[in-house]
Amino acid sequence: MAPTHPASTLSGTSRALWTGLAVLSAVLFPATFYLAFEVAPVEEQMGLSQKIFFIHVPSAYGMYVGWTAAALGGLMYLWKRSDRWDALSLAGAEIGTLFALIVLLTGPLWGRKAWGVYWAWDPRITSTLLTAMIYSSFLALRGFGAAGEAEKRFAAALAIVGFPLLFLIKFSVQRWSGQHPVVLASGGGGIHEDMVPALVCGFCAVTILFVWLMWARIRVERQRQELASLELEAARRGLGGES
Amino acid sequence: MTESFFRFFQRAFVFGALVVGAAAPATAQDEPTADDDPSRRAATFRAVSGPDAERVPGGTLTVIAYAGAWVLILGYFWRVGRLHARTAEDLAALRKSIGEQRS
Repeated sequence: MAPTHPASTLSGTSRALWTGLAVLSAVLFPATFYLAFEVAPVEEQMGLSQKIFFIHVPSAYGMYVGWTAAALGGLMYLWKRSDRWDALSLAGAEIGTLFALIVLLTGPLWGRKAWGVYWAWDPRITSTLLTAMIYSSFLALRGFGAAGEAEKRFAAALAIVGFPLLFLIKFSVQRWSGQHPVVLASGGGGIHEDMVPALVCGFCAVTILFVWLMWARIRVERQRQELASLELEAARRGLGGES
Repeated sequence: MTESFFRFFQRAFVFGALVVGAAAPATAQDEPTADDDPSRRAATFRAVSGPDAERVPGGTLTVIAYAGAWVLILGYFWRVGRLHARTAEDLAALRKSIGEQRS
C-alpha cells in the first residue's frame, strides 16, 4: 500500500520536526485569527475589512520568499545542473504562486471597501499580477510537458527573469505612488499597538506553513525525479513504463 | 461645399454640447471633505470604540477573504498529497518490476 503523506518515509528527528512544524502551524493560524478578531481593535475607517490585512500582508511575504527560492533554485540549477536545485525552484514557484493567489484574492476584497472597486490598475497591483503571470507560465511549462532537461532549463530562466520584478512590486509604491496603501514601510502611518500581535503571529504562521509546504513539495519532487530515472532504467531493461 | 462643411461642423458642435450638458450631473463631484485627503486614506490604522456603521459589508468581505485563503491552502495540501500518493504507488510498482527482473 502506498504511503499516504510525504512524511511517511521520514524517520527519527526529521519526522519529529515534521510533526512539530505541522502542529505549530495548526496552532499559529487559529491564534492569528483570535488575535485579529478578538484582540486587535476595529479600525476607524476600514472597519471589519481591515482584518484582511492580517492575512494579506503575511501572504505577500510568503509570495516574495517563495519566488525568491524559485529564482535561487533556477540560478543554481543552471550552474550546477543538479535536480535538487530544480526541486527547490519548482517548490518555490508553486508555493510563491499559492501565496500570490491569496494576495490577489484578499487584495481586491480590501479594495472594494477602501476604494469602492475590486480592481485598480495601480503600479503595485499590476506588477504583482504581471509577476504572478510569469511564475504561472513557469508552472504551466512544468505541468504540461515532460520535465526534460530543456524544460527545466527554460523554467529556470523564467524563474530568474521573474525575480527582478519582486523589487518592482516592493518599490513601485514609493516610486510611482498609486492607490495601494503604505502602512508599514517608511512613509506609512503604522498600525495601532493592539494590532501588532496579530500581524506578528500572522508572519510566524505563514513562515512555519511555508517551511512545511516547501519541505513536503521538495520531497515529492525528489520522488518524482527518482521515478523518472527508474522509468528510464525500466525502459533500458525492456520493462516498459506503467505511469 | 464650404457651406455644407460649416453646417456639419455647427451640428456636430451642438450635438457635442448637448452630450456634455447631459453628462454633467453624472460627472459632478461633491465638495472635497477632510476624509477625501489621499494622505489620510487607509494609511494609518486607528482604533474606534463602539459599533461602526458600514455601507460596504466589511464583515462579508473579510469572511470571503479568510475562507478563500483557506480553500486555496487546503486545496494545495490535497494536491501535494495526491501527487505524493500517485508517485509513491508508481515508484513501488516500478521497483517491484525491476526487482523481479533482477532476481
